[in-house]
Amino acid sequence: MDIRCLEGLRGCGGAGFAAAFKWEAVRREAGGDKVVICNADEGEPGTFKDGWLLRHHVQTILRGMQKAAQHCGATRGFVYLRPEYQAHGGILLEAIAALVEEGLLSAGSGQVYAAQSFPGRPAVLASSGLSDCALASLDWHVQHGAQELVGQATAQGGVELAPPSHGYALPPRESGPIPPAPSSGHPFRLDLCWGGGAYICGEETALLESMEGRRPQPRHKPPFPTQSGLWGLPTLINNVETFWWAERLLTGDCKTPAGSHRLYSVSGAVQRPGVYEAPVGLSARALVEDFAGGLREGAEVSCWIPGGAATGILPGSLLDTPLSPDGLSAVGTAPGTAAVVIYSQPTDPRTIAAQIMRFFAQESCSQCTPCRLGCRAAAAWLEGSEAFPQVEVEAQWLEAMELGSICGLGFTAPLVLRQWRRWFCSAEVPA
Amino acid sequence: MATLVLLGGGACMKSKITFTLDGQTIEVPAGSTLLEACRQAGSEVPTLCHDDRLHPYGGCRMCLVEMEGAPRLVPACKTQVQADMQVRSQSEKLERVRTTIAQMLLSEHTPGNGVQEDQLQSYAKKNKVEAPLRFASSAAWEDRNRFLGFDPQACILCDRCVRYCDEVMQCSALEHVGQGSQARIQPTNGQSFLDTSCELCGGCISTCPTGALYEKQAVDADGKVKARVEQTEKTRTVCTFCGVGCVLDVHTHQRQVVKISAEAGVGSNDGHLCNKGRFAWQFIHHPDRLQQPLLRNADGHLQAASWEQAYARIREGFTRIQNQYGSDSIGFLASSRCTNEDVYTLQKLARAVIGTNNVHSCAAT
Repeated sequence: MDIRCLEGLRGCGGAGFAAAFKWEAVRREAGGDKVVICNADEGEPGTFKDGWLLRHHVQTILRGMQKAAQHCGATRGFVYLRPEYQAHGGILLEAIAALVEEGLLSAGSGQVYAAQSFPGRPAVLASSGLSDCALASLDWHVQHGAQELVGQATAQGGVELAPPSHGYALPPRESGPIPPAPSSGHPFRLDLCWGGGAYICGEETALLESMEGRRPQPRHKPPFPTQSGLWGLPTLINNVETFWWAERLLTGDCKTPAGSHRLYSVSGAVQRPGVYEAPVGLSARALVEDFAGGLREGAEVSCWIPGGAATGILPGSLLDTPLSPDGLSAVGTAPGTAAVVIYSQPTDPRTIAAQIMRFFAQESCSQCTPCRLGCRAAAAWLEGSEAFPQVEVEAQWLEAMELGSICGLGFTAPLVLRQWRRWFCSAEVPA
Repeated sequence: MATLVLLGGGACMKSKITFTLDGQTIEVPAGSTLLEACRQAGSEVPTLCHDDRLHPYGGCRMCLVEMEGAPRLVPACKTQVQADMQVRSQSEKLERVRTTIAQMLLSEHTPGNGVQEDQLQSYAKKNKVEAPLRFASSAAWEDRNRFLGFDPQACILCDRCVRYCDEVMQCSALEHVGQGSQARIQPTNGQSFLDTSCELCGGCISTCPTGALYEKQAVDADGKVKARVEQTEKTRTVCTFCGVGCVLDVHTHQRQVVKISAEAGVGSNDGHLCNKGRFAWQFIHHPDRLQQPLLRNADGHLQAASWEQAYARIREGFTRIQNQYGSDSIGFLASSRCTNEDVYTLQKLARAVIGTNNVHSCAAT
C-alpha cells in the first residue's frame, strides 16, 4: 500500500508523533504476529472529539484500522475504549458486525474484553444521558469541582458513581486461527477491549500493561510498542482521530493535505460547545467566533486551555495565537489534543491551574517519585494548602519532574504551574 | 556433552561491549545495566528501589544518569549498556536532581523504627537533605501476625516487597493499591498477613530499604525497640534447621538475640530465608533448653553429666545390645537437619563401627 499521502499526518492523541513513521516501523518488524490498537481511552480533560467520531463516523475509523493492519501485516486488532463511553461500545460492536458482513474483517471479530484497572480505584462514572462534551470531562470536573463545566454535565442528566458494568475477561494471548477476510484476503480480527478507567490508561504503554492484566503503569521506553508492544508483539497504537484521517487520506475522501486540519473540541464559556474541523493555525478567537458561535452572552475571558488540560492555561490576551505547533510553542505550550476550553470571569486562573494539578496528582500511577510527589506538591502550592517554597526549590522540583519522570504525565505536568506563573503571577513567592 | 559445551561456551564467550562513562572508555559484559557498569567503574550511584535479586523497576529515580541523545535522564538500573553510549553518572545536574528526589521522598516519609537500616535517612544525613514540605503520613497498619511488622509511614512505595513476594516467593501476599496520594502497599486485599498467601518468610523485610517492614520480635510488647540495628553485634553462622546451609547473621545486643537476617549475595541462600530460619530463634534463650548432657541415675532422675560420661553410657548401651542381639538389631536414622558430612559420618559409624547397613536419612524421602 502506498502511504505517502499520510506524510504530515501527526498523531491526534496529544503527543503529535508522525503517524506514517509508526506504520512503517511496525511493517518493517519481522514475523506475522502483530497487533493494531485504536486508542479510544479519551481522557484528556476538555477533549471529546474521539467520542464524537465514534458516534458519527465509526466505520471510517474501523476501515482505517483495517488498512493499517493490512499495511503492517497485523492480524489482531483492538479498540481500547474508555469505560465511561458506555453507549459507544454498542455502536462499535454494530459497526464491527457490519464490516464482518461486508467481508473486510475476519469472521469471529467483535469479541468483548476488559482491561485491568488500579486495585482500589473507584467505580466508573455513570454516563447515560450526557453529551460527549460533558462526558469527556466527567471525572476531572466531578472530582475536582471545576464548577463551570460541571454545571453543563449535571444539567444534562446528572452524575453518579456506578459499579463497572462489565464482567469481561482480559484479552487472551492466543486467538486461534484467524480466517482471511473475504474481500481483502487479509486475516484481521478486530475486538473491543474496555479500558481500565484511569487517566493514565490512555498512555500507550500503560494501556498495554492494563490489557495484559497488570496495574496500568507506563513502561520504560525503549523498547517502543512498535518493536515490543502487546504481549511483546510489534504493535501499532494510534488515536481514534488518527485512524479517521488516515482512512480519509488513503481513500482520497479528504481534500485537504495531511495534517492541515484537526478536530477541535471547544467547550466552556462559548455559545455552541462542540467538535469542529478547522485548519491548523487558526487562532482560538477565530475558532470560538467562526465555529462555536462566539463567547457566551456577557462572558469575559479569564483564561483558556489551548489543547487539553496538560497544555496549561493562557491569558485572554493571547486568544489570537495560532493553534499550530509553532504558534503555541512560542507561548510555551503545544497543540496537545486540540481541546480548547474557555473560562470566563470571575474564574480565578489559579483555581483552574490548581484543579488541573490536583487531577494529575490523583491520577499519577504512583510508580515514579517525581510525578507522584511533584504533582502532589505543586497541587498543594497552587491550592494554597502548602506555602510555595523558595524559587530555587520550586525550580528544582519542576526540573526533577521534567527530567526524571517515566512518562508524559509527569514530565508535562510542570507546564501547568510554569504557564500560570508566566502569564498570571508576578510574585516571586506567591502567597 | 552438548549441555556442557553450551554452559562452558556461554560462560567463556560472553561478549564485551565498550562505551563511555564519565569520559572514560569502559568495557563491560554484554547485557550489563548502566548501574552494573557504574559499580564496576567505581562510580557511586544511589539506589533505593533496586535489589539485584529482582527485575529492575526504575521507580524511585535515585539512579538517574545523563545519556547522550536521550531526551531526559535515564534510570541506570533499568537501562542496558549499548555499544558507544555516552553516559555521565556524576554531574552537578545529577546531584541536584538526586537531592530533589530524596527531598520528595522525605516529604511523605517518617523514619523507620530502627530495627532495620533506613537507607533514605542515611542518604539524607550523608548529603544533608531536608524536605521543604511535609505531607500527612499514611494510616498506621495493625496486623495480628507475630513476625512481620509494617509501618506504612516509613514506606516510600519502591515496590520491592511486592516484587519480592511476586518474583521470588510467587506468593503475591502484598500489593500496591491506589494512585497518587492514595497509593499504598498493603497485604493483599487489605487483610492480615495471616489471611493472605503469605508464608511469613520475611523476605519483604530483607528487601525493604527503609525499615517500613521489620521484625516484630525486635520490638517489646510496649512498642520499644530492643536495639537499633546499628547497636547490634552481628555474628555470621549457618542455619541448622535443614541441610541447605543458609548463611545467617544473628543480631545480638547485650548477649540477647534481637533478630536474624541474611545478606543478599552471600551463600547458597542469597539473602533468602524461610520462616524458621528467620523467626524461630526463641529456643536460644529458653529456660528449658539443654545446655549440657543429662544422664539418668539409678532412681531414674536426670542429672547433669560430662560429655565423656555421656559417650561412655552410649558406648556401653550399644555394645550390650550388639553382643546380645547382633549388629543388625541396630539401625541409624539421620535427621534432615544434618549436613551431607554429618550423614556421611553417621553411615561410617553404622558400617565400620557397628557393622550394619541399616542406615537411612529422612531427607532421602
